Amino acid sequence: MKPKSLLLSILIFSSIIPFDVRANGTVRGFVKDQANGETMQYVNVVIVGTTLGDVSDENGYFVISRIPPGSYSVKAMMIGYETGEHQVTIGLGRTVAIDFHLTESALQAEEIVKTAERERFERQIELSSIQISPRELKAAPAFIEADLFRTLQALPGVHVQTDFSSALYIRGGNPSENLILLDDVRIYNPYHLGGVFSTFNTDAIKNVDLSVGGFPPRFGNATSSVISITNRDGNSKEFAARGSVSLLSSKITLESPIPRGSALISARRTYFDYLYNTFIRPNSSDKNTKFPYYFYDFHGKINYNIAQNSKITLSGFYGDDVLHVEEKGWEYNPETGTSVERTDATDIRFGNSSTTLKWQYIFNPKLFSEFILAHSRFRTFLETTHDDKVEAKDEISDWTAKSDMTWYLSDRHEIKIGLDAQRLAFTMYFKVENFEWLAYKGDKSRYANFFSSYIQDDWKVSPLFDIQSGIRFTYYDLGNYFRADPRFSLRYRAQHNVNLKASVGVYRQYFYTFNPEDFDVIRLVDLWFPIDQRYPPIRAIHYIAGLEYWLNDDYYFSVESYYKDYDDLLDLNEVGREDVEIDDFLRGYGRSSGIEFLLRKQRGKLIGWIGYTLAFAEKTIEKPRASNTLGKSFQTEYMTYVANYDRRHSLKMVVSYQQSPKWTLSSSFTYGSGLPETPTLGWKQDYRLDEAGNIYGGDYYSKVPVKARKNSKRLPPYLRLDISVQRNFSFKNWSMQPFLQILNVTNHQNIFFYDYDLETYEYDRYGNIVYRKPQRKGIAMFPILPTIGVNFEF
Amino acid sequence: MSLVPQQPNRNCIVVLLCLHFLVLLYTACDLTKPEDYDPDYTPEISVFGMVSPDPRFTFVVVERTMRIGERDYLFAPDGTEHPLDTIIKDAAVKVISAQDTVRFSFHQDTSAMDYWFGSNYRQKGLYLDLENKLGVEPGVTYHLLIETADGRVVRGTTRIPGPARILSHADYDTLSYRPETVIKWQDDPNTAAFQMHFYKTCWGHNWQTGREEWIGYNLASDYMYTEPHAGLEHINDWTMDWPGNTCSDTAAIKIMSMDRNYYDFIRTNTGLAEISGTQLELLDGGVGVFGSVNFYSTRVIIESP
Repeated sequence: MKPKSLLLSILIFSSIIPFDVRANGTVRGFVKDQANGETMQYVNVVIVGTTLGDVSDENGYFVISRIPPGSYSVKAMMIGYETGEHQVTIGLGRTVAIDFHLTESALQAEEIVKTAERERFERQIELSSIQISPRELKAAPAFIEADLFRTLQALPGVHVQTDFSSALYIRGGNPSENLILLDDVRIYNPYHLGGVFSTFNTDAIKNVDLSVGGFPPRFGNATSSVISITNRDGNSKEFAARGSVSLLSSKITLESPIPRGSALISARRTYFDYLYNTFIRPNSSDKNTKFPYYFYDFHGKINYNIAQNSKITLSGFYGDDVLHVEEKGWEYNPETGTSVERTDATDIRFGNSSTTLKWQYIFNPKLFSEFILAHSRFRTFLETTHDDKVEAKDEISDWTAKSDMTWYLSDRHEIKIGLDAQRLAFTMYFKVENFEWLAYKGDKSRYANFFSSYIQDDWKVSPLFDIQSGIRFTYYDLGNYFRADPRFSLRYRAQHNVNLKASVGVYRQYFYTFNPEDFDVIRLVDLWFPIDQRYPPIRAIHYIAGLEYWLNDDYYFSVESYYKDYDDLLDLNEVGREDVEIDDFLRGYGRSSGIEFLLRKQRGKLIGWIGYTLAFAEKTIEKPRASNTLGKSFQTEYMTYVANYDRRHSLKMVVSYQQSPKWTLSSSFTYGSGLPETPTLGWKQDYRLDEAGNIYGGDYYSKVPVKARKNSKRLPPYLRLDISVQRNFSFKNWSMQPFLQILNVTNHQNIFFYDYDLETYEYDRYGNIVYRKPQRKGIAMFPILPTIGVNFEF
Repeated sequence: MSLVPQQPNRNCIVVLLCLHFLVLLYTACDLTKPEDYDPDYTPEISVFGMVSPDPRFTFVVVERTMRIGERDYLFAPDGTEHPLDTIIKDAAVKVISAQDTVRFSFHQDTSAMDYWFGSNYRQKGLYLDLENKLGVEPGVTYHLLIETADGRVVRGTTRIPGPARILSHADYDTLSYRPETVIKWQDDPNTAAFQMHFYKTCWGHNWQTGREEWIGYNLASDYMYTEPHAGLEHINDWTMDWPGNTCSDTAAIKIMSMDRNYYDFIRTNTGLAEISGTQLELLDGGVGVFGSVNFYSTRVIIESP
């Protein structure tokens, strides 16, 4: 070995071997909330009188090693909680296990304690990551009731297209590029009512981590972002209940200790169908028509502590949107010569379900592991009982087995290793009587197997400099693709309150929703398709650089710039030939870039943030191919256009002010520049040859529109101000919070789309033709909309 | 006198209130009032050109697209007529084969018969091979060249499809009225798709001529475009709507084979593409199509159901 190589090896080896391993001891354990037993993350745990310490991870776990033998005081500190303290004696090479149970405190301790956000600032290497607390989740005004995605869309870099959809477009990626995890399991279509609400019940949520880019190797199969939602474990101390009644739904969450663990169930259901059918329909003129729609969702979780180092969790999430339309009519029976009443029904259901069995096991203080078996499914199902019976189904279903291990190798290295095996089934078919259309070459379903592994090292190179490096390997059998995706992040602590960060990484996605962009304004359901041998997986490279700055203990400021380079993008070919499989999709590439500013305050009476984003999202997609070029060598032509979700400027502000323990005022403000649209510019005649050999067309009624270049115009800017006020009433054993929310206080007419009235004549009241100019009218979204509701807790 | 400590958040609230006030001012205008719509648009050359071994299907329509608000139709709902500014009468239209170049001449037919069903293309005008010089052959490539007076040039190319010779039935074979009845025809390498029509001739009033005569009714597969090189199966596995008892026992099966351009043109002017405006570029320098069709027909005897 050459001397240089030897030196390098020694340096690398020395960096990962813990110093003085045998002589020092370790303290490890969990931090939990005294009130309900929930584990707490980002709690600062320190050995008093030393510089040693750790911050609890997402499981509430901490480990502090390299502690010289002796007696110490160990403290756990978190803002809003009284400091927990344990006395420990560390022996040579010994490990001491302690758990902290922190008590919520109205008074702030004198000593310096930090917010979770500040701890994240000090600990986390990755960029573009934001954690949303339950308080922030509930503080932000929402449409009718608190909604996770409505809160997330108020963050910089996160957009929605309309008031009617909570599907998130993040840094130039479409909603299917977001990896949405609920307790570590992917949820494929987390929306109710065609996207108006998300499926997550905020009462059950413990915390939400949003990474809008540059996420580490342990997350895969997504090219845009990660939204990781962790549900609460349930109160392990005493029975508790909370709930709310809003104009939309009622929901209730029950939690209780069980032997060696805890349990939580949370359920929500809309009830307008009950109200209408019970109270309104009997008094209406149309007594036969029932209100046809409702949705529900259910979360359940059971935790069982097998031993101090072993815990098993069973959790489930089930939700459905149900549309049931009945139609009464008469059917003639030729045998009896009489007519009998007949009811035909159309049923549409779409919803998610997921079931997860998770085992957490601590092999030793430095090796924390999780093993997961899970099933997740999203399906849309339509069935009618009419004469021409229709049945249609679209489903994505996955079975997952995975393991994640965290190895606290030393104070300088934290290594994560994971394995993941998935079997996916994609189903799509449509049946009418004897006719059957199958999406996948004569099969109802197509199956894909997916294997991935990763290794990730968080390396504290020096007190000021950290590197996170890792790689993710994936094998996907449907196209026989094997890919390796390296990712790097680094953080430089320029000052005690300033972080400079940078990140670069490769991200791929192996299944995708191909909602045609031109029809994506109303997004009812996502139709998932697997990538196969015809098209390589979609690839994005993220380049991110940013600065984080704590102005003081309360105010956090960040600025981040990003550039995303997309390749192997796919668009549904709207003019593709049905008989030529390679013509289903159009390939292309794209790029998105932008800069985001965020000023955030997380503690005190006033919390919230202000964010500004300048963003660009552009696609270059091949032009649809004419038949005479298919299967031949052909110079592909491309067209470049801005994506229909390219919101160039956006300014967002969320503020919640707790005036007293009784009153809370909140406000949310959004300004966004207009989204692109493709207007009609003119007309052209549509000619055909008819079956008798004549030409038809060429008259007034056969003209078809000539459209402008795709997305070349823009709608007017979007502007909305929402406010809410909440009053807290506390009683002996319970409390209630009635609230009033007003959406779009200023009644700004935010344009959903333009309705073009291109006729050049109309009739006057005498029936005469009057010629006029073509017109367009903006169809507005939410008007001013007050809603009320009440939350309760006991 | 004791000083009341300044609330640190008060300034933030004032800023917030000021911002809200600005928002109120900004939103004073109502954007949903209808507004006149007159986009800036330069019309393009629009072409519908066909060539075929059947000279009735050899023509080229040359016009320009319309601006929004232009009224370009003969009959307005009030029955008044309007000028047809979009017709281009002075273009040089040529169809070029390997052997020859044929110049098409503009022809405007004003016969009243062609008004029927609103199909007034002949009123607008066609470029026709009036001297019938262009005898096209299947498998041969032809080029279209249009030069307008203002210097714009449109080019297109088509290869003539062969006729779809029906193999399963000879002339006056008996066609049984059973679901398993299959009609098959000869494949052709220059054909992108076939369109089959099934006619039965009945005695009735012809609204076009105003006379009682035998009329062809299309009984099956209207507007049904087969995918290329596939046989049509089960053409009568659905109940036929027999027009009456004065129909003849014979029917005509007519199959149109179309080249790739015309097939692309008709399949992409429906559905998603029609709404979104996504179009294939089938011509160089203009919109529309230059395609070709060929026909084959036979007569069969219908077995009574």
